[in-house]
Amino acid sequence: MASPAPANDLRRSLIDEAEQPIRPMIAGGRVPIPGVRAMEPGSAETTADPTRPVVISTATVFNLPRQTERRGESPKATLQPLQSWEGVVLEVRDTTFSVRLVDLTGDRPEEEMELEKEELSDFDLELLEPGAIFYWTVGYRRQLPSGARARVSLIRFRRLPAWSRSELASARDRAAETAHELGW
Amino acid sequence: MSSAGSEIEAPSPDEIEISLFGPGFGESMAVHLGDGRWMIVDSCVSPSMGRPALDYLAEINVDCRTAVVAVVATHWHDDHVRGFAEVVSQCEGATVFLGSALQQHEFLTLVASPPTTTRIPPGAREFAAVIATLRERRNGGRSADVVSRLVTEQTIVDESAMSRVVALSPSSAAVEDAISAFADLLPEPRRPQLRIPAPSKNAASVVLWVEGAGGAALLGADLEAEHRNDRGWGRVVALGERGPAGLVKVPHHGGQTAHDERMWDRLLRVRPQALLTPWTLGGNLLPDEDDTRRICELAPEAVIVGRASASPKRLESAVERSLKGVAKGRRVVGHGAGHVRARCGPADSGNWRVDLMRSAERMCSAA
Repeated sequence: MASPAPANDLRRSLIDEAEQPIRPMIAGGRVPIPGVRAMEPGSAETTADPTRPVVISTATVFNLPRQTERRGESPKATLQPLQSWEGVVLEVRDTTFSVRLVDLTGDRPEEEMELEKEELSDFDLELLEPGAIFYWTVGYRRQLPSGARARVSLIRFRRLPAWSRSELASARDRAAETAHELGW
Repeated sequence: MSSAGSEIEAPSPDEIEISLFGPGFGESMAVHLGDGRWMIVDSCVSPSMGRPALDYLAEINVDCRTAVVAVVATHWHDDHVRGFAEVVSQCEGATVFLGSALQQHEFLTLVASPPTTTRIPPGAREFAAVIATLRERRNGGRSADVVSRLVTEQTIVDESAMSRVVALSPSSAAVEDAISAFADLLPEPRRPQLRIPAPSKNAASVVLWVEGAGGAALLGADLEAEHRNDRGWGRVVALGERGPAGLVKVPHHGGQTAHDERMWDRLLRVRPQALLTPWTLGGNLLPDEDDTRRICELAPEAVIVGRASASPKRLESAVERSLKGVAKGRRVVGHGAGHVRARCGPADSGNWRVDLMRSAERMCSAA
């Protein structure tokens, strides 16, 4: 079983990279996925590598739909992620899109590949454009209480907060300051 | 041509050297300008070769803090600048040359925009670090034109008794295009954040002409062919005949969009020594078979630094099954890097001597 301290550190570092609006939802360490319960470190359903259970739950956190579970409702399925990536869209074509992926479950080198647009939900298709960031998890979904298992591939695009006018005005000011200082 | 796996020694003072590294995250060149003075062009980071240009210079006992007099970014194409901030930081005495589009308000605003959090480092973040270093140097009392210089066509990057380096692009029309492209990329209020993508065109790339006592080299960057003669290779050729050069770093990875017969006819010797770096994105690969055939007809001794086609290690079988049929053209990024070293001295009559190291290889089977 993983020691709590490194797991918490890893969870914190990943959460710090997530957008602000969902932070309160995960601050208590609960992962409110309707119908899906994230596994705790060391639980019987984690992957074979007990040192990385928090990656499983944290990666799953990013895929949260924007709903909350009703208090007291029992989860109807668990998700056992086998592999998670963070990706960025490089190019969009007629039926496919090219992506760069960073491994979130280990330290495998970055990969590029081409994916079919039909893998995306209609909702995510609207967010598909160069520079869009997404999370991709492949794993097993286990129905409760039967335990029936199905292999699933979940791609969810990040819904990041919009840039504010003041942030962009500040960027313009910094650009002017740089140009002046460097004599450009 | 020889394969010189362990033959690492500095060039003699009167030799020009073009050392090309890639394909890692990006590509890079270390250029010996004579008398122990060096220029680094672009940047490359590789899991197998580290920071190839900086590491190579250290290996041949060149102190980059003092010996590198110029650092050039040919264009801002996202991954082609990974590690560039460290090159700038390490080469303390170098003047940094940036294409003039990169010094305009639109690009600087892009760089200064709030960074989107992602584990994949965007080029904008790399340039933000470069700018921080340049500002430190200015604040340290160095004059603006020693810290950094703007590059347009005909800019003299370096000139000494041993060599001359002049930029042949970008043209003013290409710079206008690039500024417009950067403006299109600027974040807008109330639009969802994105990792800032790279502009798709490379018309504002900095092409360099390097001339020494022995011969000349044309370093083509990613400049593409254009219909109009005020930008792209048409404009470079219109600047006037020169050379001809005996070595060319083939533009844009040998792709068709960068091919202009006039470049080969008017700026290069017949059957020049061609150097290439590959490029891949998803299932697309440069140079492709047609590109290879075309380049080998023009330059039968062409060499390439490596092949950008390393397959990833297998994942857990259940994951592999999920990827099968969904993911095409999977490849590991940044692996398979090599080093091509070309040298030319006064006694070489413009013929470049080429050594292939690591993954570098000949492109043409008949050569």
